[in-house]
Order: sequence, then C-alpha cells, then structure tokens
Amino acid sequence: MDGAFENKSTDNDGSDEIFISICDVNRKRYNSYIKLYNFNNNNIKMASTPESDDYHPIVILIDELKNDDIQLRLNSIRKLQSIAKALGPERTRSELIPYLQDSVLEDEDEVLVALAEELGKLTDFVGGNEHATCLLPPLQMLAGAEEVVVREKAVDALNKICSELSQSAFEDCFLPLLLNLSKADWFTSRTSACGLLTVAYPRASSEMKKNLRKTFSTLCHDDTPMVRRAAATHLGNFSKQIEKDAVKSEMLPLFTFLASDEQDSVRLLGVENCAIIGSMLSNEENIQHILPILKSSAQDKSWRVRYMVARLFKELCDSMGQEITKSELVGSFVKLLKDTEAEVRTEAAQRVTEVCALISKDMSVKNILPCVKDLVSDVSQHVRAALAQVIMGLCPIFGKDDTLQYLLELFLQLLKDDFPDVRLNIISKLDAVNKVIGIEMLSQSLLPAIVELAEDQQWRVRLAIIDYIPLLASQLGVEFFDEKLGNLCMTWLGDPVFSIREAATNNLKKLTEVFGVEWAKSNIIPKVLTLHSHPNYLYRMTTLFSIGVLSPVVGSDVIASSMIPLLTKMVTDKVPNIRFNVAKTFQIIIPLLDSTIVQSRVKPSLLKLLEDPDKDVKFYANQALQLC
Amino acid sequence: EIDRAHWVSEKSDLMATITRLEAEKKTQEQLRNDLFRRIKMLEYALQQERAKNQPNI
Repeated sequence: MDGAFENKSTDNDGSDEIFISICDVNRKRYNSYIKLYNFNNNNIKMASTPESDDYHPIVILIDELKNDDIQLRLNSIRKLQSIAKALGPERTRSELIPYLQDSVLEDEDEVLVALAEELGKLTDFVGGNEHATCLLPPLQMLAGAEEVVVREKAVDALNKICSELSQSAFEDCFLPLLLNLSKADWFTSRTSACGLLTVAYPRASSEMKKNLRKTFSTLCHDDTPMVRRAAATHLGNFSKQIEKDAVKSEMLPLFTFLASDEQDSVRLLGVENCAIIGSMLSNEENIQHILPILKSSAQDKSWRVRYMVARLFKELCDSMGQEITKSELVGSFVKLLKDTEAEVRTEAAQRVTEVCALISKDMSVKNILPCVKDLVSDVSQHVRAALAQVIMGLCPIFGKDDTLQYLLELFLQLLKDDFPDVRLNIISKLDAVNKVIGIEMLSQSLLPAIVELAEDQQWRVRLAIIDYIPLLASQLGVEFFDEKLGNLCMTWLGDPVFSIREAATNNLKKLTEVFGVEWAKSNIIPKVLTLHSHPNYLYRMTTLFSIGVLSPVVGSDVIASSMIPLLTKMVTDKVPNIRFNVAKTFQIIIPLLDSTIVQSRVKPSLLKLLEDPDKDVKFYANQALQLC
Repeated sequence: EIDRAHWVSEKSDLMATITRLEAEKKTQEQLRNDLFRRIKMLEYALQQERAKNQPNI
C-alpha cells in the first residue's frame, strides 16, 4: 500500500502534493509545539534557578548544620525526613546520602546518635526496600564511631534495615558490610559487627553461615577485651539462631573459651550465656558442657562473676532443669549464701524463696535453712534486708507446721533488727504468713514482739514501730487491731517524748483513713477526748493536736458534735498555752464547718479568747476570727 | 552592709536570668528561621512536582 502511494506521488504531482504539504504542516506544528513545551519547561527551570538554590533542600541542610548551637543542629537532623521528602527518592539517594556520608560524621556524638536513628527510618524516603542498600555506607561509618551510644544506635538501625532488605541485596551488600566491619582495624567496628550477626545469620546461605560462624569465632578470639566482651554479650542470642549440631561443635568451645577469659568483665557475661545455651541443650549435654563452667563461675575468684551467678540463679536453675538443680546447684547456692562478699550474699539471699520453690521441702530444710539462719544474724544490714524481703515467701512452701517450727523464730529475730529496712520488709509482707498460719497463731507469736518494741526504752525504736502501725493494721484487719493494738496506739498519746506523741496523732489520722470514719467515731475519738482532763497541760495539748489532725478526715458532723463542745470547755483552761492552742485549733476547723455553726458556736468562744490577758492568746484568737 | 551584699547577689542573679532568656530567645528565633526555610523548601518541592505532573493530565 505504502509503495503504491509513493509511486503515485512521484508519478503525478497535483492533488497528492497538496496532501503531503498538509502532512508537513501538521508535523511542523507538532514539532514547534514540542519545542515550545521544552522551552517553557526550561523557562520555568531557568526562571526559578536563583530561588531553587536558596530552597534547595541540601543547601538548607548544610546551612542548618553550620549553626553553632548544638540544639539547632540536632533539630535539623531530627527532621531529616522532610528534607528527603522534598528531594524525592532519586535525589535523596544520589545527593543527600553521599553528602551525609562525607560531611556530617565529624559532628558531635549527640548529633550522630540522632543521625543513626534517622537513617534507620529513611527506607521509605530512598525509594523503598529495593533501594535501602544506599543507607548502609553511612551507617557503616557510624558503626565504627568511638562513642558507644552512637555505635549501638547504628547497629540498631542496621539490624532494622537488614530485615527490610531483599534477599539479593542482603547477600550483595549487607553481608560484605558485616565482614568488613568484623575485619576493621579499629576495635569499635569489630564490636559493632558482633551485634549484627544475630540478625544476619538466619537469612544467609549455608555456605555463608559457615563463614559467619568463623567470623564470630575470630571475634571471640580478638585481642581486645572490648570485642571479646561484645562477642560474649551476643553469644547466647547468636547461638539461638544456629542449628543445634553447630552449637555443640562450634559455639560450646567458644563459650568455654570466653568463660575462662582472663578479664572478669568477659567471664561474667558468660554466666548469662550459661542460662541461654543451657536451655537449648539436653540434660546430659548440660552436665557435660555447661555444668563444669557454671560450677567454676560460682567459685570464681572475682566476686563480680559470683555475683552474676547469684543474680541469675533462678534462670540458671530453670535452664538446667530440676535434676541438675537438685543434685548439683543446691551445693553451689549454699556456697554463695556463705560467700565472703556481702554483695554476693545479698543477691543470693534475694533468691532464697525462688530456689526453695524449685527444690523439695526436705532439701530446703536440710540445706538452705541452716544458711538462712546464719544470714538472719549477718553482719551486713543489706544482706539482712534482702533476706527479710523474701523470707516470708517461704511460708507457703514450708506449710503451717514447719513455718511455726523453723521460720517464726527467724521472723521474730528480724523484727527486732536494728536496721529499720529489715523490720519494714518483714512487716510489709506479713499477709503472706497470715494466709499460712492464720491470724490467731500470728498474733500469738508476733504481738508480744510488737508490744515489746512499742514499749522500748529507746524512743527512736518506739517511733519506728509507730510508723509501721498503719501498714500493719491494713494487713491484719480491723478486729485484730481493736483487740490487741488499739490500746497501744492510745498509750503513745501519753508518751513523755513529744515526737512520739506527735507521731501517734498522725498515726490516728492514717488509721482513720484505713478503717473509715465510723470506726474512728466509736474507737478513737472518745479515748482521745478523755485526755483533756489530764492534770499535766502537755497531755491536754495532745488532745488539741489530735483534733487538729483528725478533723480533716472525720467530716463536719463529728467535729460539731464531739469536738466543738470540748474546745469550748478548754477555752477557760488555766494555762495560757492551752488557750492559744485552742485558738489555733479553731483556725484549722473553721474552714471545714458550715458558716452557721461557725457563727453560733465558734465565734463566741473566740471573742472570749480575744479578751484574754495573755497577748499570745489574743494574737491567735484574732487570727482565727479573721477566718470567720 | 548586709542589704548591699543582698542587693548585689540579687542583681547578679537577675542578670544571669536575663542572659539565659536572651540566649533562649535567640535559639528559638534561629529555630523559627530554619523551620521557615524548611516550609519554603517543601512548598518549592511541591510546586516542582506539580509542574512536572500538569502537562500529562
């Protein structure tokens, strides 16, 4: 068809020529349109060039990072996403990331931390997962930074990006990066490499896995303790990712190697790994491989290592299983309880209940109990306090009879301890004992001790017990309290030492909060008010103080019915100190009362006090009147 | 004498407060400028993006 048409056109001119010319015109028009479009487009670009320089995202970033104020630089890094957004994914990859890589890394550590965090979140802004590899180079540099925090953040970001990478990108970019870091000159990069292995391992091909295990082994044998420490930290989690036979053949030797490191800071990290690796192996394997290390760690010459063992003892027992715990670990635990370092004993004492819960009762009684008895009279107060914190937990394990037989004596001894924390720890856990031996037994054995302390010669001891009374009351309940402790609280109001009386009045307020207003109305208030006729004016004053403290919690009815009559009576007291304290007490209760009651019943008394010959009484009465 | 010492110390305290507040204000101003430029930048980027997309529509 085409050929025929051409032939025609060459043969005959005329009408066909016209046709062609129309086509040409059309083509020209089209071309000129394109030109025009291009020109316009260029025009837009050219016209806005000066402006675009000013608002070019990278220029802005450079300007911002030039600022002297670190806070401003930090702000600008924190908003790196908006820069990336303005640039679009393509230019972010080609311009922003290289810029960051070259120039920002000189900044302060704080800014670098922020940068590492932001780079981890930038995946979406560089064009999604397939382009995420371009974030790796700057992060690699950050992972080699001197400051630990910067490295940690960079490792976090790398791990995050790693999980987003496609398989091919992972193999082409991430693994080489990991290997580079692990072979870097500076130890900083090598420590970072330890943190990346755990995430990278599951995705690697089997050959690469072999390579990674070898890398890890080199890191474990590193010259610097810093790298060995990092390797020891990640050993457990890395092993979790590894196939079981590889763990046995390759990880166990490394683990043994690190556990016998010359630096105690490396050895103590091995203890945690005992628990993790132990939970992956069978019983026999644990006995063969882990147990020897665990036992030697428990007798390590560095107390920090022994401390770690004591601290993680429960986890270790869990991972080793019941059999080994019973046969082997109990012995080690007893040794830790008798350790020469108080810190180790403290940690061990805190695990007593957990460990006893794992083993049989007979064993606890036979092995652990003698140590506990020694610890009760330990020289270090922290050890005793730690023991007091958990010893109550033994009651449910021992059962009623054995608790009475063995533990009660220890409780009482701890309750009489000099160190207040020990006593507090005992008293605050009383409800656990209560559930096991019942309130009757408890009160029979405990009450004498409390009463004894409440009547101690030393007023500081008495004060200490008063502080615990509200807690004790809330645990033991209202009946128990009324029967046994109620009188005690009242005798404190008549104590010769002012501080005790003051504490006792505050105690009444707290008790009212615990047991409620009704209870206070029938139990406390009548007893408090009888004190007002005491021959010594100091005790009469106690009544006034109690009214002042109790009035905010009992409500206006009680104040009006029982407190105001008393105060009115005391207005005529012959001691001026009492009189002006009446005025002061009025000051407290006036805001709590209805204005009609104030006008009819309070004001007359105050007016009477205003006529007093004593100038202090006048002063306070005047002050109170201003509130009416 | 005591009053004078008191006055001097109070004055130095106040001066310190003023310098601190001035520095704070300066930082905030700078921050505002930076944020302003960021807004401009985003506006410009949006404009570019629109110019690119318009002819196709």
